[in-house]
Amino acid sequence: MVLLVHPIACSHSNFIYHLRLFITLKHSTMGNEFTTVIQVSKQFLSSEEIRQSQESSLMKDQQYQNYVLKKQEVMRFLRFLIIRLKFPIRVLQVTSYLFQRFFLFNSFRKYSSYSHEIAVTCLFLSIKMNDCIRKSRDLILVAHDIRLSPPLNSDDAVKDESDLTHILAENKVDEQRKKVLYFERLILECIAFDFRHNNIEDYLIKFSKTLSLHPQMGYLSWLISVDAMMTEVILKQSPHVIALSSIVLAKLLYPEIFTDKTVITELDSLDLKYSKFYCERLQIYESVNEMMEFYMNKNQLPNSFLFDYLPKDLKFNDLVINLKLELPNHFDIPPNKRKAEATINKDDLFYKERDYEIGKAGTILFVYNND
Amino acid sequence: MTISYTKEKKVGEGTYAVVYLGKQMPSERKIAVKEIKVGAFKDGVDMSAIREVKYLQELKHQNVIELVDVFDEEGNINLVLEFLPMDLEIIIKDTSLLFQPGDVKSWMLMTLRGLHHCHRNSILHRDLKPNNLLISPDGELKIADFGLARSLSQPNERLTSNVVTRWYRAPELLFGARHYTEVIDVWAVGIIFAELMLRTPYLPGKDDADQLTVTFQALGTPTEKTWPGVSALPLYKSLHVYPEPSRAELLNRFGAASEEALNLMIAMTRMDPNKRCTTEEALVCKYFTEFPPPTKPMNLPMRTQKKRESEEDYESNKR
Repeated sequence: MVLLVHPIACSHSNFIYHLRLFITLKHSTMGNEFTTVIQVSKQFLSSEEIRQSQESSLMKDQQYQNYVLKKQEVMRFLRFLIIRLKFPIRVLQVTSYLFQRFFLFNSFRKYSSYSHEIAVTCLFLSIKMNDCIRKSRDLILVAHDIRLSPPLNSDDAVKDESDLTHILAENKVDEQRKKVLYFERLILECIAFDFRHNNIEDYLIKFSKTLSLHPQMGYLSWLISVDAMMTEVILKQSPHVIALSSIVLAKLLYPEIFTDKTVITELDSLDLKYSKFYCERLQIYESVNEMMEFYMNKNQLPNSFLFDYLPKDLKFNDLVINLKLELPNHFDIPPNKRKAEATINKDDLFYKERDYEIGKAGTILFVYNND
Repeated sequence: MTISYTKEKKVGEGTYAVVYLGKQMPSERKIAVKEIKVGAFKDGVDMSAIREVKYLQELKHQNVIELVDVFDEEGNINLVLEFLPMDLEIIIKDTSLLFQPGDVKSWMLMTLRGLHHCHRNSILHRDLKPNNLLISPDGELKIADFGLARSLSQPNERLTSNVVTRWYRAPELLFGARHYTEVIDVWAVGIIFAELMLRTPYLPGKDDADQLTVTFQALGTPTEKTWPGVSALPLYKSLHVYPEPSRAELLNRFGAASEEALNLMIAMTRMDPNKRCTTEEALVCKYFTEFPPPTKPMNLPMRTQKKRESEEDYESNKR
């Protein structure tokens, strides 16, 4: 057996990235035609690349708003599922990444009715990647219970996982399991079997230690970082950028919310040199900006981990809106530099809806770039 | 010009993968293709497969097996790995090969360099044994099989102690510790070091209980005095207390070992994980700078083609 592969696919360089991210080649051997695809695994995408992908997965069917609402619902569902199954909250990071990534390359209209199954699959893959292995059956049973009796809040979600109000029949569990395994295959192709990922939490702990952050500030940063996991930031920035952005946002929010003088004095002398943490000013600006947008949306707030922690009488929306207005000045970024420049090839099949038939009949070569 | 991969011969089958030998064309570079059985499991892609792909995607080092490419063909995921025809276990077992002190030093050095690269990237291998130390045609040793690997845990995370092939299992694992560090791999390298000198497995326990006995008979039973906190470990129960071997006894056991070689082995096989050396400490120890120098990889003892009973036979042994 011979597998044909295009020559450039074998050089792991940025050269490929600048050319195309998804290339289809047709070959013919002894009258049989088969397809070879080269797919670059690009772990993080620019805002423009995300918009371009959503063009075919969401926009063309006018599904964007429906997707946003469904995403909010699913994130809430995932939050309760993770709490009930006693997984560390960091598994939400990969789960949310996979879920959002899936709907970049797959039609929302086609798969929206399976959103919860897809979410369970993302969680299932995430726990495998995070070494918190559990059987898919356990996830399915608890997920079914949470869907039919959603907890009111995180505290309500804390109960023994065997304490199920709605029990799914064994044949239905098997049916669900088949769906999970089917979607797992699709997701794996979408992410090019690229399992490299680092935890935001790990960076946050290291940065907090390096900066000798006050525990209250550390906790506030951590809550923000968990909220960031539910946003598109997770698709755009690497974990160390998100970790530092969470600290930056916490530094901005703390004096507006709390009054502890010791912490506020410490914050004045907090030296956040972005380059020391291998981050760029613009990356931090974009991430903080996007996290603020999350907090500005009142519909998102019930999902927020930070919101639960805030004083109940705080007008958080207004506070964030005012801070956001000041953000460009705070970062000292001129108006023409407020978005990272990116040129993309809009015809690249990478941004089109994914065709899973190729993998079944032909060969897909995954290339892992290092950017 | 089109580059292609061929799968020419099936050489082994594990729980989650089938391994083929093949070539990258037209370079004719020999490669191994590991085809992962995606649909064969009740719960989707096996976690070992995920671990192997994930860590090999992250690690690039002369002494770690190279993941050349990954491709998806007819619904199966295939890992293209570099071709490594030999492993250290076969070499150790081949009594016709004579090891010089520089040879052992060279294998140890390559193992520790590869392992240090894993550890400084916060990755624990968790299954080091001679069988997983593969040898390239030019004699380079490469750490392989990352199916049990994982990243260093967070302080509150509980890990499974059911890792590492029994004979190379560190005492904290034998005692069922749920929190351990990268020095479990250092212990395994220490035991491999002993095996290279003895040419026979150093601590061959017949079962888990026997492993405890064999380990402590050879290296002494740990006590609260020698290893503070050991009695709190789950499987630390009334043990027969064997004395720690004296230096003279160890010198007698490893007749060919130099003083520095012995120092390194003692440092790598300390019972208390807090006192055991790290890969960094091991790499800078005097053993590696004293005479003789480590043998160059290409001059290391190798099984010749003629000596193989059949290629298929030794490949299936290895996997």
